[in-house]
Amino acid sequence: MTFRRLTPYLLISLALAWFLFNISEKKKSLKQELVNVKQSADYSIEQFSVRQFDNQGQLIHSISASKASMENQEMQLTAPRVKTRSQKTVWDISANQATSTNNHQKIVLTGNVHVTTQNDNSVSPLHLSTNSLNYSSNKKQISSESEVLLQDGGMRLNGTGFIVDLLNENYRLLSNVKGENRYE
Amino acid sequence: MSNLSFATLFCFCLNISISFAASAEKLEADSSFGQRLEGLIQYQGNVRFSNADLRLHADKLTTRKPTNSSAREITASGSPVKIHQSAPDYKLDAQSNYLQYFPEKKQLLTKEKVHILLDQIGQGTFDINASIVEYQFTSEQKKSLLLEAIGSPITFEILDSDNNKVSGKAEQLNYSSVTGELILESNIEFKQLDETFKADKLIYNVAKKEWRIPAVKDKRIEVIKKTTHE
Repeated sequence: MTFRRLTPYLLISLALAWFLFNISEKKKSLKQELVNVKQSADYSIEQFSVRQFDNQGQLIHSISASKASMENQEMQLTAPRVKTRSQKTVWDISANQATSTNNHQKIVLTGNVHVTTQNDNSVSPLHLSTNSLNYSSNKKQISSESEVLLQDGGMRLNGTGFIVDLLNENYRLLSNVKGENRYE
Repeated sequence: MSNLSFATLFCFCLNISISFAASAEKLEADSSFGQRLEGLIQYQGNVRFSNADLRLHADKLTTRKPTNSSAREITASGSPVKIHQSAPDYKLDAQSNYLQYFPEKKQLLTKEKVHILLDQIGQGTFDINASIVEYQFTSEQKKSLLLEAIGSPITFEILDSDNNKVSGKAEQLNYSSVTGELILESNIEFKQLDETFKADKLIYNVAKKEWRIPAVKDKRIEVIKKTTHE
C-alpha cells in the first residue's frame, strides 16, 4: 500500500487516540471534584429539630438546636436541647454545643450543660449541672467524668463523675462526694 | 405611721430568721448512689455525716425520705460506726456495727457490739457495753435522756464526780436522766464498794447513790461481801 492510501487511516487513528485520552483525563478530574465535595460540609440547617421513634412508635427523644451542621458523619449542634421521657419523668438536657453521631444514638454535650426533670408524680425534681455529658439513647443513660452539681429535692451534692440511669431514675456519683441537705 | 413601719420591718426580719432556721446536714463520702423512686440515697466509703445533733463516721450510710407512714430515717453500718454528740451538760460517744437514726425524734437505735460512754459533765460517767441500745434525747438542749439496753449480758460502770464506782451486769437496763434512776432486770450482778448483789431486779438512783431491790415472787437475793483478813 502506498503512503497516500495509509494517511487517512493514520489520521483517524490519531484522532481516536486523542479523543480517548481526553475522556480519561476528564474522568480523573471529575473524581477529584467529587472527593473535594465529600470533604466539605454536606449541609447546614437553622432552627434544627428532629423527633425519633422506636419500632413500636414510641417517642425516643426530641432534639432541637439553633443550628445543625453535618460534617464527616457527625452533626454539630449549637444551643442543643434533648428531651427524653421514661416512665413518668421527662428529662430535659441543654448545653452550649453538642456532637451527635450514629443517627443521634450518641450525643456528647459540652459547655454549661444542665439537666432537669419534670414529673407526673410527687417525686421532687432533679437538677444537674456539669461541663460535659454523654447521652446514650440505647442505654437510656447520661454520664460524665467531669465535676457535677446535683440537686435532688433538698439534697445538694457535689462530686466527680456520674452515671444516671434515665429509665429507673437512679444516679451514681463516682468520687469526691460532698453534700448538704436542708430540711424544715 | 412610724409604728406600722417598725411592725412591718420586725415581721420581715422575723420571717428571714425563721427561713434561716431550717436545719442543715452535711455529708462526705467516696461515692453515692441515689434511687429517686424509692426516696433513698446511699453513701459509701469513709462516710462523714453531721448535723446540729451529732457527728457520725461510718463505712456506709443510707438516707430515706419521709413518707406518709414513716419518719425520715438514716441507717449506717461500719466496723464500727462512731457517733459523737455534745450539749452543755453532756458528751456522748457511741460505737456499734449498725445504727438507725431518726433525726426529727432525736432517737438512735444501735445494734451489734454497742459501746456507749456518757459523760454527764460535772456529775460523772456512765459506760455501757450491750448488744442493743436505744436512746433518745427528749428536749432540744439534750437535757433529758431515755436509754434502754439489752444484752447477754449488758456490762456497765458508773463513776461519780468523786471517782466512786458502781458496776455490774444485767440482761436489761433502763435509764432516765429525768428521774435519775437506773433499772436493771434479769440475771443482775451489781457491785458497789466491796459488796456484790445478785438479784432479778434492782433500781439504782444515780444522783442519790441509793439502790433498792424490789421483792420478786420466788426469787431470792444473794449478797456477797468481800472480807479482809487481818
